[in-house]
Amino acid sequence: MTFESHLEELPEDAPWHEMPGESQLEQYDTDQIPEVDITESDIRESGQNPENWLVFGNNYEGHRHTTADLITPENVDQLEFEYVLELGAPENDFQGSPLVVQGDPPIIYQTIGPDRLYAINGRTGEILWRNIYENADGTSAETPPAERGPAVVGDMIYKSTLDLGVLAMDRYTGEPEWYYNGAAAYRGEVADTDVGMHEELRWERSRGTTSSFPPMICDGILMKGSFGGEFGVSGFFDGINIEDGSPEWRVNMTPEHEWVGDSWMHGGGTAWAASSLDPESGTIIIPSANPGPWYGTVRPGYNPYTAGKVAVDIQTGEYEWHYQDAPHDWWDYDSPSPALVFEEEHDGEPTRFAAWPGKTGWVYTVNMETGQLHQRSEEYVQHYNMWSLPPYEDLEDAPWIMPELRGGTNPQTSSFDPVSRTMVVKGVNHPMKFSWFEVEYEPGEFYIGMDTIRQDRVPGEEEEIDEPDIETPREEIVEVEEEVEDEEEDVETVDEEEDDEDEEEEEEEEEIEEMEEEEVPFWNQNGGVLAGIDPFTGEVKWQQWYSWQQTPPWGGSMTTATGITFAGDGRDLFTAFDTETGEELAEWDVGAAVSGAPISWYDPGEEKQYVAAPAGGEREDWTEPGNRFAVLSLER
Amino acid sequence: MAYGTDPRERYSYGEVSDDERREFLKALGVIAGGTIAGATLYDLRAEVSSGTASGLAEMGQGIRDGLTGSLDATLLSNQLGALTASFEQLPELEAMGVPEAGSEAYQSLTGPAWEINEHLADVGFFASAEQTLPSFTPEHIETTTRQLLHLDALPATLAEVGFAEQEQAALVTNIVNAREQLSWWMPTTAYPPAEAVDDGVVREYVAPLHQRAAEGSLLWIDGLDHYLWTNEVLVTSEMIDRGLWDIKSMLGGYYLMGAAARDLAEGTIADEHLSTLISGSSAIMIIGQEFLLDDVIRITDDKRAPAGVISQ
Repeated sequence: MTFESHLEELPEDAPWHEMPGESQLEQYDTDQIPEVDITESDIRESGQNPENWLVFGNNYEGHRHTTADLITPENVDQLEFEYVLELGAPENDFQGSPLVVQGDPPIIYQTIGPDRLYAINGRTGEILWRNIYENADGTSAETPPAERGPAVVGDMIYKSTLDLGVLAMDRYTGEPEWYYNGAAAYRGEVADTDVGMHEELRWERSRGTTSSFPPMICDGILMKGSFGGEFGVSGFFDGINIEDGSPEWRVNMTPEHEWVGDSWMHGGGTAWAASSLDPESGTIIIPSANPGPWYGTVRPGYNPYTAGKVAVDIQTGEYEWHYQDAPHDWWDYDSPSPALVFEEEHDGEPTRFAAWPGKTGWVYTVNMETGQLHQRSEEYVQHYNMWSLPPYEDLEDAPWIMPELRGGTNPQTSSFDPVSRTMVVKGVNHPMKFSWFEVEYEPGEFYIGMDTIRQDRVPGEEEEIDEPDIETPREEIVEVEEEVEDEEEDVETVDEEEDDEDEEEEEEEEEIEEMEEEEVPFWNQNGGVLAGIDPFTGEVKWQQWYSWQQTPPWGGSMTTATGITFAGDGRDLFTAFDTETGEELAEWDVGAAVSGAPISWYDPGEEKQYVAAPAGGEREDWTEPGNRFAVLSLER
Repeated sequence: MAYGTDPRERYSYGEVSDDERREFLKALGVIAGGTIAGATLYDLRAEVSSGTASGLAEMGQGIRDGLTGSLDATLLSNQLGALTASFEQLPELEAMGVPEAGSEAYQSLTGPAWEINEHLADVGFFASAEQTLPSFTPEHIETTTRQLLHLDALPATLAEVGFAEQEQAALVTNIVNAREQLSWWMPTTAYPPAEAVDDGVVREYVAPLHQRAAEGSLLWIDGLDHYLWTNEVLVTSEMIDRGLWDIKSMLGGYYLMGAAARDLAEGTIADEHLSTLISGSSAIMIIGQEFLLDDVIRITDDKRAPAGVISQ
């Protein structure tokens, strides 16, 4: 076994620049967008510049930390809504991070699903242009895929697409410049369909199984991942030339010789969530997803590089190290939450580490140079029957297991306060039963083979939803006009066609009601947690629990140089916490589940510090849907 | 590890307890009274009949006929000889503890087995075995185990690679006592063929059961240098000790399979013994994988090494 590089062939005759879908651009007052030269050096220093948020984590290291310091624990309760945008339909998960480019005015770039990118005046909320990419195989009307954000450099902005490609656009106008077709070749085979996509990468896109990867740009290379682990794909991760969108390298995430037989071909290991990187070593840390199918008897061995992190060289894609949260996973314990990189003195030497929370409910901290585990944290969610294998076709007798398939931590992005060395982590805390069954592989169909039941309520207790006692600022909401009538009609049609399926689902639900009435004494009856963790020592400093009557906290968090953590939750609340203690300082009702990651910037022209809270999606029965983009501010 | 009938309570790490023997005998329909059989294969053989070997000979013939190439007796014999040395290294691994960075100590155990593996795959050995042998149903597990116990050559073969009498018994009792996990490993034929689904492929992407047992074992052992070093802060000496038994079991299973193939190449094995040894050795290797995961790879907080003071 050699954990060497596993770079795929890149056939020259593949249609690498063929755009399978269609890009639709709507331009408004684009003259408002100021010309600002953004270099890679600016991206590297974004974390120190309070006026910018130029990369997903605000620095390559993924800290989600702002040096803007106008907002303090003492005045944070004076933060007021500046504007709230309702960005059209269908309602969606944000799950990602907006970017802000400084200027007069600052410009926000925000994506929502499916495949929409907006340029927004950061001061007024005015939409300046909008680019909608219609992917080749369509998207589910009921569960459109989530978006995780764009990338910028120079005069360009880049967005991954649901066709596994990248659309490069002029940042000032939204006009497409080039397209990289990531589905042009697959496992070294050239696509031979009429849209230039490999046939095994085609199916209707839907949340939970397909999603956008926020591109990462460094040293002239744009990097992006893949999706489809639940559809039996073999994952890959691409490096693309930023100038013309040509492929530079592709990492095979299921290297053939480390899997038995041909199991690698449907082994999963996709990379669908955000990445981070260490600019000092030129290494990107790829988040890798679960192996496929979910049951392991057809794929013996560790199943590298699934369910963990893989570090590769940015210039070449060459392997550097990997760490698996869940070798030979059975529970969908992939590792989507991006790592954060930090430096600490260790054994007398300044040492760089990468740390991330897993669906497994621990924070893993590894040596950035070697990948060796430095520390596994104390548990920040409950563990119960951990690693118990699901039985075969016997859900009723299956044990309750914690964490469940959503974690622990799913794509929720952590933040880091380097001063107090606190990593702020969100986690889910529900028991779940798993039971496996055989499944056949068919292109474009689910390849999971696992039944599950989640215990998300306490049997015998009334479901009294913990409603926040805060008024949503309806008068502040700007309804952004969208041409969505046709889509809404489509939704109705699909609903009618799916009536029969709904009835079947209802019957199934009745059958499992009895199981849902089972008590799980071990469970602390909390559905989720926000935790402050020292990633160097593994100590859990504090935990803010969310009861089972609240939707588990989704979305990311953000820290400030003044000791505040901003994070949202499923009660539609956006909350400010003390980073060192977890104490709540102030909260706002955004009117939709806060499933995106907040950002902040200082606008010297207005002398205001802004905080954006993307909200919507991760809808439980009782949460408000929406595509709400709320911006709050505090004036000096 | 599992739900319901948790095999951890009946799994032997080289020493078969009274309770484990009682469970084993009970599963084979032998009701033990106040006294319990001794803990060697000979002792157990005295208690358990060989049963009927119906069909085993035909299956052995089927395996022989299904080969697509010629088995190379010399290659197999040489590599089995080399594999013997791997067993001798196991005590050194125990003394070594967690491997150093870049170590290939565990990986060096499997070199000869990979040579055998490649040859067996090339001549269609795994495909032929799977085409011929039944899945691990309770009946097949029972038949195989009874036959294994009564294989005269088994103790000597296992002794060649250092299995003490109690350890030999443990390998066989573990097959029955972990039969539920074994039954989850289905043959490729349990999956529909490509032509049964539109544009789909199924069987074609699942390796033969006996190849998964054999090759999976080698992959698990090979990866331990990296895994143990990477997770040093979690690993305890108990994990390593238990893991070494799991490794010894897997290598023991591989040796039995390789020896059966060599004897087949030399024309010195009876057909019913061939089927028994392929099924039995595969079962041993599968159980070894399952328990290696439980003993070493899946580390819970109550099993991990204590979180130490981090020096700054």
